[in-house]
Amino acid sequence: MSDDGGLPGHSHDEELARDLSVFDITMIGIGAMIGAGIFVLTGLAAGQAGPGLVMAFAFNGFITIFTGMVYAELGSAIPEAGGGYLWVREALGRSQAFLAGWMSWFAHAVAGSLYVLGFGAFVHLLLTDYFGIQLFRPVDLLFITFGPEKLFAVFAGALFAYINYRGAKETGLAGNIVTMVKVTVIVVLIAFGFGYIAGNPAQSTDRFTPFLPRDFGGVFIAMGLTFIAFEGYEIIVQSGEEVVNPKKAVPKAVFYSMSVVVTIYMLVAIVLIGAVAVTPELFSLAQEGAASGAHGATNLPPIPAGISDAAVWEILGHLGELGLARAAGQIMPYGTLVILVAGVFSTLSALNATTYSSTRVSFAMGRDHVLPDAFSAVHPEKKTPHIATALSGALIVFMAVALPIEAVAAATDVMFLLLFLQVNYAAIVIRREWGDQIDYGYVMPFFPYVPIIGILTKLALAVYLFNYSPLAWYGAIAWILVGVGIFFLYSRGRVRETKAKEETRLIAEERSPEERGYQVLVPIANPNNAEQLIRAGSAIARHEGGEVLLTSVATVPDQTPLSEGGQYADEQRQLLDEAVQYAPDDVPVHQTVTIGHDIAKSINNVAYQRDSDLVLLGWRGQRKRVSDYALGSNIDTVVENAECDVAVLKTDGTTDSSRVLVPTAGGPNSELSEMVATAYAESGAQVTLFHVATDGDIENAQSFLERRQTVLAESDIDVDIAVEAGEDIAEAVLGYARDGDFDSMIIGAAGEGILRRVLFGEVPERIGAEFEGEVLMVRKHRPVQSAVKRLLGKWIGKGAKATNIGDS
Amino acid sequence: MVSTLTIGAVLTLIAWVGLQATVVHGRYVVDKIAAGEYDKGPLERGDTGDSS
Repeated sequence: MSDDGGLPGHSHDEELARDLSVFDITMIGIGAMIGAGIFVLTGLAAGQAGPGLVMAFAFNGFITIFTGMVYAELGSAIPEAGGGYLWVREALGRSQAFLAGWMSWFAHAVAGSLYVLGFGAFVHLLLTDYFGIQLFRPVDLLFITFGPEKLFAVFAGALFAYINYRGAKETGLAGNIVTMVKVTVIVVLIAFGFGYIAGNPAQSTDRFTPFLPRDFGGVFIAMGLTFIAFEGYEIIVQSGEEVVNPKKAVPKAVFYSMSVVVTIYMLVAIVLIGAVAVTPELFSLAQEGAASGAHGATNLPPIPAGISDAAVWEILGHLGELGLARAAGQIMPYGTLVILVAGVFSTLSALNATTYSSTRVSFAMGRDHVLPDAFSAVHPEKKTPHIATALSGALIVFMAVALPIEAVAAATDVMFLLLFLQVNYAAIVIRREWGDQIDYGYVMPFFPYVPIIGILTKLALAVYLFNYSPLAWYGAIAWILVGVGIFFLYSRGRVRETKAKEETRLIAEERSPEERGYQVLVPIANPNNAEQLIRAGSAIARHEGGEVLLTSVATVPDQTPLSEGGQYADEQRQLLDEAVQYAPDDVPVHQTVTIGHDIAKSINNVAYQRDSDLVLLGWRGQRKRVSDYALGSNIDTVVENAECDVAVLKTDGTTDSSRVLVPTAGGPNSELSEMVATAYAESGAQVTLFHVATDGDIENAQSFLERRQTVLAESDIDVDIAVEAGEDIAEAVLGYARDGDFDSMIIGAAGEGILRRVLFGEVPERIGAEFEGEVLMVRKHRPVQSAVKRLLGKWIGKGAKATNIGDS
Repeated sequence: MVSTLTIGAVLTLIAWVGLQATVVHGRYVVDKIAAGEYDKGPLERGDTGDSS
């Protein structure tokens, strides 16, 4: 959750003119849904579901309304362009938003691929059947078959990428005309079809039996395959900024458009099955289609040998994307021609919209710095995001050429289904976290069951589509894996930079004239332990040939923008001015005052921004036994999320360490503790390495410590070694330290689990709390383990708020 | 024995009616919220008659 401009008061700089009514955006939603999908996909879906296609559309409408309610609720509360991507970013954080944007880019681009393929098929049929123009025969190129349809598809994809590059967006008038034409065509088709059914009721009814020739499995596949045709609510909420009274208009438009569109789809399905006979012409066309495999004859039964055995749904399935157009020839005069022409317009207008939206998603990701800045580059003359447009166009064309049409359709559906999973989850998080602060225009009933049902049904459909097109799933998984790779290799760092800038602001800085590579960051909050912290930090910096950065964080309430926080920082400036007197002359010491909403996050942000190598924190020495925290809320959060080594110092009030005990057992944390001990030794302390042999093997332990002693001696550091046998490590260490009059202890973190909340481990923390002298606990940064732990916490735990201790 | 067609038709009708009922309920909720008369869900705490 972003701290500034968070969800409840979400603000943006540019306001669009509010001139759209409920009717207008309902038409936008209907136009998006009664679009290319019904022209291209109905035949394919009929082949899967049989007469059950009617039921598939009804079920799809029913399960889609669960996500529709989510869109109605969030669209009424946060009516901004950005829709699902925006909500995921605000509710689940930027890492999930990256995935949402990455999938959304693919989903819209591959939807474009589906439309260019539909366009190619329609134009090819128009040219061959109505103009008598014969084009080249399909040729096999490696693993793909390239026919005239794909040539037209490539042409359309390239053309609309160019049109979008030129900046000629579809005008509202042209969009409305196309919508009205296609809706009129469909309504006329339905009217003719019902005219036939009314005149031939017995014949028509016979065509609906068997109702489920391929059982419910076929219905589920048809549902998944046509799901893209039901996602008009995403378009409606995108228009939210331009609507008069969006709190009422957006949810109503979502509901009205769903009601109308699902009804129309069901009527089309009834007409398609009931009003179409298997004529010799259709039969031979289907046989040709099946023989050539040109119309996506995936997962279809073979065409029966005799025409009398063939059902209309089988024929439609083998006619694929041309199923509706061919069937329309029987339903109304010039039906095929009318549907083809309407289909050409529909696919082109849908292609324009998807090219524009896929470009906009990738452009937005470039602007959010999660994709390279080139994505957000704007052409100086055309004022369009030319690189994002070119790459989106290339993606559309590539997928259209590389995959068969049914795999393209399935891949689009899988991506949209996965995207809606995230949106449903985001709706739960938003209602739970900010529900009482948001001004809703609609609230869904039965929360959180509605979005949970939305998640489960969409997940089931997406998984079931694997039965239809494994290729689509492989493509989707490959795309997601590439996205995850890009995120970890590139975007994560940029997200971190952006977050650090948003969460923490540097308001005063004094630099030492000299700068060195290694840096110890010492946050100062308590003047009583400033001297000890600076002494320890300086010793380590001196040993590593580095510098010390002192910082103090002023916090402001969440409601106060960081830009207004300067006035709260006087106390911090004074604190640092007093602390810097303890800095030695031979180590460069810088100081910064920062401001943030959260101390721990700010410390980690400073460490990240300044590339610190070690953060050294002070600790009162009391373990938190009753709360969720081990050492304290701020310390826990810094230690868990630090992107460098961490040390926590419990002081005893003295400013000298003359006898230092270093319990060690090997491993990266012990190596770090030995490094720090070496730094103490260089400052004059007498250091003893100590090992507790819990297995009783004194000899082995002795030789281990001797090896360490030899390594240190090579660097002119003399240390003593000691071994004791014992079962209770903490008890043995404490006993040895007390008996030996040690005044300080340096101890590395014990092994940690991925899922358990462990900071330094039971033994170090117990020693830290019980030892009367000074204790320094150190923990080595392990990037992979930390990343896995953070991801688990964020994704499985409590969403983006998982580390937001300021709200706890 | 009830035919598959009948069962399919009934299920289809139930799904369609369920969708339409959700639409009608949605419209009802939107109008009630706009009129300030809806106090369920997240509105039950905030809707105390104070418009601020």
